[in-house]
Amino acid sequence: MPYTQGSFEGLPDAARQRLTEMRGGAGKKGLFTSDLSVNEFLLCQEANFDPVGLVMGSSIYHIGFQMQKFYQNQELEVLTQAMYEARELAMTRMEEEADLLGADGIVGVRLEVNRYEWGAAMAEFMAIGTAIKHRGGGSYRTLDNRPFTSDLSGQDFWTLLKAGYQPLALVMGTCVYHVAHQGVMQSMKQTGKNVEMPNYTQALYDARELALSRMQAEAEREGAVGIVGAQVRENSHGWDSHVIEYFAVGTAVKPIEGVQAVPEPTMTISLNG
Amino acid sequence: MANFWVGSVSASELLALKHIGVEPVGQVYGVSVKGLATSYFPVVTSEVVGEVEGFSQMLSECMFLINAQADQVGANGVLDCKVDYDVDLELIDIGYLKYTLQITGTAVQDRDSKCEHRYFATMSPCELIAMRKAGYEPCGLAIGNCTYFQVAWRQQPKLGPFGTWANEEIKELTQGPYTAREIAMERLMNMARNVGGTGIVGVQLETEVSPSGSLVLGTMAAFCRMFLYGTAIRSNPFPSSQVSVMTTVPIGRD
Repeated sequence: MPYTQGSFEGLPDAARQRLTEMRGGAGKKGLFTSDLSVNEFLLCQEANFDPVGLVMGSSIYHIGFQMQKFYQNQELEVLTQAMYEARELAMTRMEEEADLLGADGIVGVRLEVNRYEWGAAMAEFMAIGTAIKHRGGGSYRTLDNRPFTSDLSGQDFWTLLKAGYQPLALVMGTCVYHVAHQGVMQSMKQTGKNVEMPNYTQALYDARELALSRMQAEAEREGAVGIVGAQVRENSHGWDSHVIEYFAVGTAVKPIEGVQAVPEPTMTISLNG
Repeated sequence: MANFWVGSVSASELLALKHIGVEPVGQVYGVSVKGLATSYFPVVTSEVVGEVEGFSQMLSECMFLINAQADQVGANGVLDCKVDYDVDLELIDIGYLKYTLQITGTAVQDRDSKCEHRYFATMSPCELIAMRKAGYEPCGLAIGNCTYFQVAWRQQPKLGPFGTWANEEIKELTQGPYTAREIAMERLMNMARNVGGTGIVGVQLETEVSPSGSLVLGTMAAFCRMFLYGTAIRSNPFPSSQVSVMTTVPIGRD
């Protein structure tokens, strides 16, 4: 489900009504919710952003099946596609909620995947964050007019802005990969020796590279100059021991036009240990 | 023994609290354990009312106990509140679960509190100081909870190429945790409004989807539990000063 401006597909009616009411008016007092800590809340305020609501998107997804070649390294495209599509569904719904709140962006985004013992091929994908709005009405939305998204904490968000950059989008790249099993002859040849295991090395390299290049391509499409806080996580999601997911995620950023000098940091000695 | 107290505040927090006229007076604790039958009609999507009502009673009991302790030590605020809600799913098969709700915190006598009632807050003493300096104050705990039973009318997964199973979203089941969150969020917000809050910070979200047998062949069903809590805040009519933020580099390793 790609993001469409003005669409609220997938959101329950009750969510639409509640989010509209949170903005205040029609006899109801506005009220914001946020999972920001007190320090994060105060730093967002200091940076001229007000939290407007805790937003969430979720999707329970049936992950398809793909045959694997036992002795071959290969990407499992059906599974990669599932991981992409389900995360995209959750992200899009979270962005739609932020739209309903009139937000400029979402900070502290967490992407979670829960697998349940009872649903072998199913997974619940969740995206959660706090929608924020700029007090001065500055333009912080992305090229295609989506609210910006970022997995940065309130502290990192404040520091990023002070450094003269603004977040654009939470970018991600994923690759589900089958690592080939060793042949009997190869295993016998290696017995008792120190040797590199080239098929394993190559598989991990390939999978990580595919995930990173996809994340980078997403950032380039957003018009970013770089990605901060990039991480590559290795997940297994309960699949076969030779099937792994490499998931690269980070916040794409661009410089804020006409920004001042970066404030000089003060050196401090902490009293805590 | 006069003025003897036990609290979870650290030495630096104690120093900071003294500075703003807040005195820790003791550790307070409320707990409620209940066994509730999960009565539901297994073919109908609906809220599990028995469980939700049970939670509501547990919350009242917990708050009663913790308030009684706070009364004894003469506190007008409770900081560092930890809220722990636990459902023991091991017993799900016999339709009778054990529910535990615990709330703990450090009771304080707050000289400058403008709150008309005793406030409960999840924030630490240092966070209270930062909040107050920025012109806000805590006005109470906000808690929201919902258990929703969701049935998905689904025959078989879609077939993909070469007879394999295809990727697809299970739309009806997705609505379960969504609806549970909506109801819980509404309750959280109402509780915040009731104590005079204009916002809620530090919302913690605990979610769980657990399966249930459905009586109808070809359907899937799940209990979707959503538990939310945070601290309701409002503007303090007498802000003390502006918070100054500076970029610092700590000397030494973490």
